[in-house]
Amino acid sequence: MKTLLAALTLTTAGLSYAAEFPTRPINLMVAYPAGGSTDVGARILAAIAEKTLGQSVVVVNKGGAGGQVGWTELSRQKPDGYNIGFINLPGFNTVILDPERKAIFNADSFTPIINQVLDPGAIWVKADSPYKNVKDLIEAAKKTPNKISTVTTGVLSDDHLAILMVEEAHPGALFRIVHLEGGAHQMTQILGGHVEVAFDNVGSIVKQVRAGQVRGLVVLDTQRSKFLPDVPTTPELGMPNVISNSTRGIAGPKGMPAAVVKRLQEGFAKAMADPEHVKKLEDSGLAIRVMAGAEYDKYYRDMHARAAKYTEWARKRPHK
Amino acid sequence: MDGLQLLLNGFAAALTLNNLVFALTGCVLGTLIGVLPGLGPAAGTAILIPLTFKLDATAAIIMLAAIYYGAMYGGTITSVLINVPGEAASVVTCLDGYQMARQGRGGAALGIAAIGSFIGGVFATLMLTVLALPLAKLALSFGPPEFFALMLLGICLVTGLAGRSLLAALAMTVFGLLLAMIGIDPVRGAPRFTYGIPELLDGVGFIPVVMGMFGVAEILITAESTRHTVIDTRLAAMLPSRAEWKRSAGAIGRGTLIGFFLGLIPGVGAIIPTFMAYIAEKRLSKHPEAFGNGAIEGVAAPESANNSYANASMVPLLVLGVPSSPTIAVLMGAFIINGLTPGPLLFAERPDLVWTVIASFFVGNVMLLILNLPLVGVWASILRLPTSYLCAGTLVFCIVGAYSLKGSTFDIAVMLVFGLIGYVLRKLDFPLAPTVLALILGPFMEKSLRTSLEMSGGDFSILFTRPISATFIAISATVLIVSTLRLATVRAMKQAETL
Amino acid sequence: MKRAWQITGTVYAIVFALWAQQSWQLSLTDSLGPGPGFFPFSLSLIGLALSVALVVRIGRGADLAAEPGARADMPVLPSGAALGQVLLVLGALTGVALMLETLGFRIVMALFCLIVLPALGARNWIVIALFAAAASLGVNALFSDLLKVPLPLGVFGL
Repeated sequence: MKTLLAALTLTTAGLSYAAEFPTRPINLMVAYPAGGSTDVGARILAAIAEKTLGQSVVVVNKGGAGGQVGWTELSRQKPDGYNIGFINLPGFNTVILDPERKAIFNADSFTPIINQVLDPGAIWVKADSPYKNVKDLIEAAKKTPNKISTVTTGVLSDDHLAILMVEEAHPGALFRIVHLEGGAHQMTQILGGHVEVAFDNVGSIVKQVRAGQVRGLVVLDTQRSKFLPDVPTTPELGMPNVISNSTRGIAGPKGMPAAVVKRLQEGFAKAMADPEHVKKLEDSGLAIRVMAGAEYDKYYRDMHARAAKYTEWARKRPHK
Repeated sequence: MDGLQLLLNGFAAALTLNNLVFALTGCVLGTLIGVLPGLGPAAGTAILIPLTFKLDATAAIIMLAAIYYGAMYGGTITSVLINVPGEAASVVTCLDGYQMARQGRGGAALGIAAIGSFIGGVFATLMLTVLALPLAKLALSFGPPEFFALMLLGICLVTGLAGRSLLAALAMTVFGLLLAMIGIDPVRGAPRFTYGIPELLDGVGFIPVVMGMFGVAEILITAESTRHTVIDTRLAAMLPSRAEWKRSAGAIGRGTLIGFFLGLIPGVGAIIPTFMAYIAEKRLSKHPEAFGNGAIEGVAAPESANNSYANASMVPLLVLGVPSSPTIAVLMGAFIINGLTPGPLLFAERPDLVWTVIASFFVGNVMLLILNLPLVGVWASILRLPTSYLCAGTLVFCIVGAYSLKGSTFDIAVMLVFGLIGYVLRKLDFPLAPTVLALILGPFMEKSLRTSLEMSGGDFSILFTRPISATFIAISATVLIVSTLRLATVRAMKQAETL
Repeated sequence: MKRAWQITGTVYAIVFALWAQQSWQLSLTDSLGPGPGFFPFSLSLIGLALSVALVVRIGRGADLAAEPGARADMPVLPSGAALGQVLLVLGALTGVALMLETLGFRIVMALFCLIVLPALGARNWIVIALFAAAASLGVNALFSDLLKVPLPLGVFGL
């Protein structure tokens, strides 16, 4: 009886509430420090969504623990639509599924709203690195196991899983895995020569590749990236099963009124379709993949199931 | 000479009446944001972004940069007037700035802060103009071991704030470091020391703790006195005296340099250069005991360092595309939206726009000075309010500030608890600044150390084999040893006197 | 003063000891090197050593006050009217923390000012009332309406 009353109150409140939503600025959280590819995509979207939603959309960075800090905060916000954030699949899923992380949230703690980008994984090095291609890198990793410092954007992120997949495809090749906090951190550390190889996503390196500062070794996708046409893909190099990518979408805490979710979906979808958004994302090397509603919900669930398998496999490995 | 020509063109574009008006508006809005609690520069700047949509790219960026500088100065105003720092960068200014205000010299403090900020900002922008690309290389030389060592140095320099007891200062520092570990483990993600209180998952917030230990504690001490006093502020005390000018000159110079070099490194927060500049001045001064009691160098140095840092941190943004702080990240977003992609290609693809932006940094700094110097008198006159109203106002300010961080009364409770702790410790002459510094640096230190160990495969010697980090660690050790010896000597001398 | 220092030092030592014990329960090492408990544990031990050393030194007569000798025998905590004022301010702040969301911003801030201002020495009730109005209604208008930062409404919708 209590729950029925609560549901009724919430719905009626939600309906009248949503009629005016939004009436004040919306916080859009990014679970990584500023400057990375998720962040850049978010800021571009936020600026354009201000027009379609009618209120400021403020990007807030909350990095840490490979995104767990930010997603923990997000799961605890009031589901009023004013606090939403980006979730990065499958990194998000592995956080939930890895018991050592002791995440206080799970897949049901969030309301998926709409997806923006699907960024394929990429392996890259500094432009003057001795590793000219993936073959060089693998050979070196076999010759000096556990010595080549290889960076990810977080524990059990898509990058981390990609490293483990490459190691599995080449027995004997072992990397010394270092976990940094986001793509911008990777960029400064690689350019500064403090670490040797980075596993990240295409969107993080396009500008630097164009400027000749970094070299992309391989793209972990079934087809070549239009932003890096000269970089081979893993199937081309004999690793057809090493496919990895990061999907970035917006979600809110669970319990958001349906009308509010709908309004946010409309606003963001319109913003994502805006030619300025399309152009700016292309300039930054980010591949747009809009998904909303039932499509995104299904993707969310599917990804979670797949990530469960990956997490199990990663945790069973002797070398992490 | 190509650069010079471009810069001059940039000035021509920046100095149009239109753009000047935007710069001025930005400074005003920024100062107001800096003064208001709870609205950090990042949030405030972000909220004002829509205003810039109607403007062209140059004007928009000019205005946003002006808001940024303005906000830094706004933070200084509250530090001096009511001992509540607007943001991390202003914490150090509280130490001497507030004491000066209590002595009726608040105007002088604000004045020297404005001038120091101006000089720091202009110097940094000049250097940026001339040496942006080579400086960026310097910026990349910091890896996790260097970060850790730098922060360790900052912590050890804190012994300069030790007062009479090194042990007490170190204990306070360790306490701060432990507080910083409450929350989510930065590598593994598991909660630590949260005992099921969900609000603690985000850690003990720095702002409620500082507002408590500095603001509330101060008011509790004031509440003890039964007199209803008014601080005596004569007009002549509004400006720094000649002697104070002379003393500040060196402080401004050194603070500017320290702030500049640290600003080049992406990821170094604003608090490190301000603390280091302060400590450097204290060590070099002939009257170190004046620090903490209203020494004007104690305001001039951190303020110059602060603005120099702010301007220098544009280098990592413009050249590498890496923002050093949340507010710079907002600026980066604005750049991108307006067609400027910060990063290696920026100088090559749109030099005209870049030089206009750089010219506007100069303009912004000048504008800030012109705006704030005359207003110093207005701000300082707030100090003429009766103490009870000033304190009550500060408490209201702190309550709103703490609440609006996350819309939670938990932060008010944190502020209250630390206000009580700060009050008791102040009465016992325990230094509070080390705890605050440790609280801010703690998370970065731990993360840097653990990442360094990942890089070296668990080997601690990585800290000692890399030249920069080894140097910092050596200096840290030296500082600790020298401090111990110095205090021991002082004690021995005191004992000899009493014999 | 000396007594107070010793008590504080001991409290610190106890806090650090407890913290060390709690850190011990988190894993000290894990697959990536030092675990979540490693640094808190080490730091707690250092803190413990420091506070014990501090207590010992105070016991041996070290004078740690900022102004040497001047306050060696001054009582640390206030008494009488001063104590009353401090407690009033603390109580008012506690009240705000507890009641802000229940009673709403405007009511709570108005009450807060009415309690704190006299506690700090203000006597002119007209000015006090004006200040309370500005602090509650004025600040609310500034933040809620102008800056769009929501302040609690409370059960009375105020």
